[in-house]
Amino acid sequence: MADIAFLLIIFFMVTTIFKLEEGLPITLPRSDAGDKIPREKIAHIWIDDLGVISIDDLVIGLNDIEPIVIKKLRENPSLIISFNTDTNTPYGVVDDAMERLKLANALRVSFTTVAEEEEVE
Amino acid sequence: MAMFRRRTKISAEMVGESSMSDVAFLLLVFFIVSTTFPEIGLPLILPSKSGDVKQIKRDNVMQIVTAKSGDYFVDVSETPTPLPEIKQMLRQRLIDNEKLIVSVETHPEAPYGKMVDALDEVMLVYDELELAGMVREKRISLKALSFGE
Repeated sequence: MADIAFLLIIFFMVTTIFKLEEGLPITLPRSDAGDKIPREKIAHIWIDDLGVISIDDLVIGLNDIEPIVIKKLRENPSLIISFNTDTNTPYGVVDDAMERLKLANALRVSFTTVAEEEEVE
Repeated sequence: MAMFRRRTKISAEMVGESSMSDVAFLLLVFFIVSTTFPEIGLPLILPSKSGDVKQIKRDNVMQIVTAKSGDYFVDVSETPTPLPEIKQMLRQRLIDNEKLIVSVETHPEAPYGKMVDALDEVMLVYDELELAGMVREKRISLKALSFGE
């Protein structure tokens, strides 16, 4: 009996799919100095090389950033906004997004990178 | 008392050691599935939107400008400076002047990756000097150039 229970537990654990944010297909820049940031504190902003912006798997416009981030900050005041931006994205788009974050008073940001040694080309 | 004795006897019989490994595997599987690894990032704190603009002496600012082409310029130099050289200059200037603010300025059409490369180098220099106890905090400002190259 116990074996069947364990078997079932393992089966359900393995088959359960956690909701993962898919984001946009991007190539992250590399860095040496990157710090590790715990996942629970992060909200991701995805920006691809064409400048398409996405939060929570929704493609949004620049103007939608502010209300969404304000809402997220209310739920978690120590939130860190993490920019997952393609390495070829024009910097202006990132700067515009950062201006919106300042308006939303989300001042803790992080630029997500790939650590230099685990780079996959 | 009799009841207590009986109970311990039963439990001693019931608990086998053969399921121990099952429990261990169970825990193993649980942790494999639920572990998420922390992300790598360059953390920064943006200035708040409050409009207090401070005048800063030119001597206390080192500009690292990323041009549209992805070349780097230090302060207002005409010729591009390669990153390793910028790193050397920054290290020297930070040692000389603890109040130095590093202004990472980027052309809006420059690739984001180039800005991150520059920021990465700045962070590395700061990390190194912080470890050595020569600087206390990172003074980095991010900015997009609003005109020309």
